[in-house]
Amino acid sequence: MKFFRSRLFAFVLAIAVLCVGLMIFSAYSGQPSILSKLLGAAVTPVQQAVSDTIDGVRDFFGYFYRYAALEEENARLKEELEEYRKMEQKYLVAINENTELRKLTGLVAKYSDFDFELCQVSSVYRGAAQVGMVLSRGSAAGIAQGDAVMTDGGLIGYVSSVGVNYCEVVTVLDVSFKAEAKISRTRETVIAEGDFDLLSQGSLRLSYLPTDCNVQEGDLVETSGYGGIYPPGLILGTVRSLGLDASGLTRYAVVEPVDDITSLKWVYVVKDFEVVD
Amino acid sequence: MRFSLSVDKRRVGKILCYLLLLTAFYVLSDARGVLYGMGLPTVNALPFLVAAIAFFEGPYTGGCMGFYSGLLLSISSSTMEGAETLILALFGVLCGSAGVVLLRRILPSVLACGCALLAVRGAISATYYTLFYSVPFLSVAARYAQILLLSLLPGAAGYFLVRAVYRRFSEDDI
Repeated sequence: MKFFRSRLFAFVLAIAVLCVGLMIFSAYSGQPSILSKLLGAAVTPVQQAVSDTIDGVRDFFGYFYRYAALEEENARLKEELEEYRKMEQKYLVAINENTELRKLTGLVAKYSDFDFELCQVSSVYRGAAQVGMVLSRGSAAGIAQGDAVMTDGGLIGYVSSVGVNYCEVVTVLDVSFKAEAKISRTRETVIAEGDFDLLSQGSLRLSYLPTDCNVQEGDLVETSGYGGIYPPGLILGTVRSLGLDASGLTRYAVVEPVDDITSLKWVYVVKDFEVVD
Repeated sequence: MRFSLSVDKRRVGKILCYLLLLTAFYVLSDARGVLYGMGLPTVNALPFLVAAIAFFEGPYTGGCMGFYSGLLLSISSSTMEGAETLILALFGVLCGSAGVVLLRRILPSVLACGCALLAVRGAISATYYTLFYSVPFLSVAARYAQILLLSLLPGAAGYFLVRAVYRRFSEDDI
């Protein structure tokens, strides 16, 4: 009883009330509190600088101990570049042909307007079942909660909360990530979600595929656009392997994301998009 | 009067040092490329620092530092804000009280308290992921155990740094 009249109890109670207040605020608003925003605004630039310094040091020393590997990679990339140049010629012809066909059929470009914000990755967080990142821009740059985050290759995740000069991103690898997707080749609708077992391999999962689903290894998976959260047609990754669920009633597919999230330094946030067709 | 003013200044300096230490540990543990490039999870040494500060400074400072650490952790984690702060603040108060009546202010005590908190937090998270995402409990628990083991070394370093700050300012007090 004496404890309940003590100064320590009052202190504990004050902290508990404050924390519960923060919980209620964040649960209702879905946004970080002013305390968290202020702290994030101060800490994120420092973290960005530290990340850049670490990258710099790693790159500098990496130059010495990876010289042979880099030389080999350089030779291989030169060969690939030559191949791509040849392919580019073919593509240019195909693109011209496609443009003409579009004109003929009256189709317009799929996305009339994507409003991008280029952001630097300040930090990457990998917990037991979470993979998130903090980006260097926030509400001051017009970023809002729920915005899609992507690279040139495709979708990386979505903005889960926003501070003034930073925002948190839940990546496609996170266990809580779930999105409706389509197989590019067959246009079949599937569910793409983060998976605990695949998280450590840097992959996600297509769940509940019917046994007669025509998914093959190497198929591209893209966002369906249903629900309006993600723009349609953003590549989520490539099907790496297929398997049968424990129940034996449905199949699943392991999808390799478009980019290695560990090595990302820059990403785009899609602030606004308009789908024409 | 002059003496009490300088003591206050030293106390503020000490608190600032603790805040800087916590911030530095948070920044280093989450910064891109420290452990992530090696495929390892993000370490969490803050509970060890909070325990060390609480042991040296008592439950009030321990509680406040726990609260601050919780706010730091909620910047990059998608865990509900306030939950982390509540857990760490109460942990700070508990460690501070234990440091006064029960445990000695030595490294094993700090490591034991930090491990206990990470284990409890891991068990809560593992239960959450098991209930809501059908993830096997033991698999998540094993990954939290990995985080715990990885955090021991920076946690021990944190203890020595906190002790150094405490001694530096205590010497000045004498």
